[in-house]
Amino acid sequence: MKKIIILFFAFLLSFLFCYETNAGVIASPSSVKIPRGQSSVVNISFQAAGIVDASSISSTHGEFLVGGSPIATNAVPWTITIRNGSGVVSEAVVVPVRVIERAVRQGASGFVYRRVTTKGPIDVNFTITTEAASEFTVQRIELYFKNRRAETTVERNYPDLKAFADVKFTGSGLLEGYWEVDGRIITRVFQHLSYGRTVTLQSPAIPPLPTFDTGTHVVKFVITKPSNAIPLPAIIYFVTPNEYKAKPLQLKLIEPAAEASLDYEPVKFSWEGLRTPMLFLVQFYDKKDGSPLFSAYTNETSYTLPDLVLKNIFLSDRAYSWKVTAFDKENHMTGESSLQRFLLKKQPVK
Amino acid sequence: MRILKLLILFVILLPLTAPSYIWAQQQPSAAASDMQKEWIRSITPADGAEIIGKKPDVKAEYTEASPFTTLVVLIDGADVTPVLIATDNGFEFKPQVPLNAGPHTISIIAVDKEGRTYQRNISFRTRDTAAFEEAYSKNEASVTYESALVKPSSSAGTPNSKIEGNLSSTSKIKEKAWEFQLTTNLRYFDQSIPATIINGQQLEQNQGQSILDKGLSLVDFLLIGKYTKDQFQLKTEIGDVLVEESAYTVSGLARRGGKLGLTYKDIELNSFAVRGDQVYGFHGGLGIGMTTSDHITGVSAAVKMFDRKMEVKTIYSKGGTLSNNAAVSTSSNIQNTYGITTTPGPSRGEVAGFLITSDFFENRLRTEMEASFSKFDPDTTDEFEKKSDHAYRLRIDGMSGVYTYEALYEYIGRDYAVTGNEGLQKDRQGLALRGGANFGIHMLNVGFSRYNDNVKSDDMFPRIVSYQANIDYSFTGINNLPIGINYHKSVQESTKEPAGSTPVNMDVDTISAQLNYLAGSFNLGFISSYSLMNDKTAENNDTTTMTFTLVPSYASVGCSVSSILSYNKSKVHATNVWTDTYTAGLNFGTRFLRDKAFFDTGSTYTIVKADDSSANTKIFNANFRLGYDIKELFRDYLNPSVSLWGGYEKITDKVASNLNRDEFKLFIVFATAIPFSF
Repeated sequence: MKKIIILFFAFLLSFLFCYETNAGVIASPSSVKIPRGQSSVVNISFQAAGIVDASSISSTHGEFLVGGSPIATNAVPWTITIRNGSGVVSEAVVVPVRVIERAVRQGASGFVYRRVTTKGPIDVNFTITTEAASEFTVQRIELYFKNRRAETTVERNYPDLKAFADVKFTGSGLLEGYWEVDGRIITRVFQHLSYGRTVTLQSPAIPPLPTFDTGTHVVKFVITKPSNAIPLPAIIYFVTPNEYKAKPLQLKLIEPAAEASLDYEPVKFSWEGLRTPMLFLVQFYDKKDGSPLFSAYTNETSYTLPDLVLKNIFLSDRAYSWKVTAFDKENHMTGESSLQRFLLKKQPVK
Repeated sequence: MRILKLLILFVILLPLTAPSYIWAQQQPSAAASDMQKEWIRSITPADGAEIIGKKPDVKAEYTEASPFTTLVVLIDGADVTPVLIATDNGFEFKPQVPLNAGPHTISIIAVDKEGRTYQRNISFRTRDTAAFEEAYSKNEASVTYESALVKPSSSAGTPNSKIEGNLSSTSKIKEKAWEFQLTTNLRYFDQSIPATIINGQQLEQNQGQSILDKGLSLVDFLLIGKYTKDQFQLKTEIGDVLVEESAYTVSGLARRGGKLGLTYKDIELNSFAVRGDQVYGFHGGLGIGMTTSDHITGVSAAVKMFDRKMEVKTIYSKGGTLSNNAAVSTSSNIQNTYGITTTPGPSRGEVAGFLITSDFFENRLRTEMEASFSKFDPDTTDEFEKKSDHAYRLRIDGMSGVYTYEALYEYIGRDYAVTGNEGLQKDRQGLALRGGANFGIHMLNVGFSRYNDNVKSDDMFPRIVSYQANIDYSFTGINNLPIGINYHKSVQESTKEPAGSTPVNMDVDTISAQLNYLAGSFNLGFISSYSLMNDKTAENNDTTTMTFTLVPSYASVGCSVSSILSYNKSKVHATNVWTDTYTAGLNFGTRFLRDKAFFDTGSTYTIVKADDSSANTKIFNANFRLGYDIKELFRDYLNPSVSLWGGYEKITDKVASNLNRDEFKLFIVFATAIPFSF
């Protein structure tokens, strides 16, 4: 019985000793690598455990120390509310560029960020290094639409609304995030980023940013990893009630067939029509990216190059391309074909 | 006779060998004019006439009844013969596509039964109004009113009612050398809850100020004024302008402000003054200002030489930002910012750049050389002054036949930074090579680069050398099955590490493939990627991610469906934790009841699950709109519609149950759009 009582007290003492040793506040992460020459924002979590003698732990300020001497202070206070002996607070620590500069000018390649709390000081070690060798963190996010602005206005059911995110980062790692509209996740992004140039991410074509709902909408690119210390930017698009004219339908070219080799004489070009009455514009090109060499309007689904035009504008033994565009009564484009090549044969010598 | 006919054809139609628009503008010879007087009795518009309108009536009458076997009528070089309306003794025509204001030419060419060819060219001008050569104003006023029918009791972020109005306007006037164009959106916004909450999203700047304001606001505007005379042009832009000068000076700077440009022959002078920060609405007025603490100003001069094959340009810019969009030290929730988020500190700087570009060999060999010098202070509130540094680059690129190439060497100093180009990565130097070939159905692009940081070889820091290579191949040989494959490798190694520093030794391998199956209106896309980051240091911070995505879509008149099924698996090797992410999305839209009714929906379902139980979340979101056009009940131009808009969200988080949510909201929405143009 005596042995049991001794063992019990020994266990109790050791438990209390260990408990007391682990009680307090720890910072996570306890060490951070940040780039020189620019300010940084680092998320630090202060976790209290085993607190039995206080309902809260507070800190009035933080200090940046080099060799034990303060070089700057952070006057933002925080308080950890203790429940059941534990509690946590997350601080986005802004490291101004002057802190880094002061440390470097003292010949130090790092400094200590000390939080002075009612439970004593808590230290986080900062190492100053280059951008490439720093922690994987996002330094800057710029969101914009195709107009390069953070705002745009589109018609209802506009199909091609895209948002872009220029992400400037330090270090290398796996970026995880998602595009979000009005709080609804549109698509998720997983991409390894190696330090180098700023990366531009683009919202997907499918699923697109929704435009069926009129009014103001808020787009964000939410970064979940690395843990986000800087605020998330948001951009705004406005959908008007006016319906976007449907994307032009694909017109099918019938003849001549693609890459057809044709005699150097009046040629008939034909294509499939559409349901509604319309006007067709037939355009001929001698260069793929240039302006049309010749064009013609017709209400029919075919057009024959007149001899007068053929012989005076088109050359034999030469390749050309053609395409057809359809318009409705209000001159809205309702259909468009792809560009198709044909060859006019060499004119036989008579 | 045949030879004579060919000879006449050749003489008359010689100008036709030029491009069509030149052909149309050729004047007939005196002899031909005499002949024309005989075969066309009257024609409208008359030669030299000035017409007010965009679709002038074109009429012609022959002296004899239909004497021709061939007739070709061109307007500005485009053949309109197939859409002519034949009359008893001629033809008439009204352009369906409006003619731009300015000079036009009608060419009528005919061949009679005897093979004689006749031609008549008529030049005329059109103007939109009597006062202005070109004048139009395209506007659309719209209003959307929403009233909640069902809203979650817990949701303070859902308004009982909301009204939004918008006036879009594009107007232009032009007379002789002067031209003015204004595009703008004027918006009205009000709702029964504060403006800091939009669609359930907290939207405010750091200072607690809302981004959107209730009431009227000028959301965007751009006024362009132009004066063009001979080879001189003066151009001003006021409003939401975009400034592009060079890669190392000001690039992609979209801000509120003004631009002024002068062009005379081959000389260009430009200047700009814009706000440093982005703003929504008319905060800060026109944005034009010269205070360098919160504005960015600049000038540039360029001269083109050697038949415009070479350009020398110099740029100077200075200014600063107050960094309203920066993070602040906080222990509370992180807020949103508008457009840009960056690390804090009001910054200020100036930059001078010199740029020489050339293209002497018609895109076969283009060169671009830039040297720029900056002075930059990343935080004007501290005791440290601006730091000077420089950056330079040489870029050579071109194309020949099916091949393209590019070589770039660049150096960007450790302290090189520019206000208005904050995305620029500093402290790096290296070489990048790219090449491509397009063999029709086969396309190949390859790239290689080698960069390092710590360009000043500072002993306090390591130098990280980074190699990147990529190869990209696509095959379009099967018409309805385009395929693409990409491989990317990145290697990073540290050298000259100071004592006590952690080395860097990391490889990233990424391979991705994409194929699409196209069958009429149906498109099935499949994308997969696998990526491994191999940290070879003792930290062993390896990560793997792989994604498989299936994207079926269908589109036809009045109906479109697009969906996404995606599965991602990511692993953090150090903790040996796998996280699975499933995403399913569906977007569907249709019109029915003779296009009077419409139904649209967008929904997403995501599951995130980690095998160590650190994450286990299911989120389902769906929005829909069911509406009906009630145009018949009103005057035609009102275009009103009434609809039901609903939103459902369910979040089940087994790790953080306080995030759980199950909400449904339903609104009745009245919307109308009134276009008015003149």
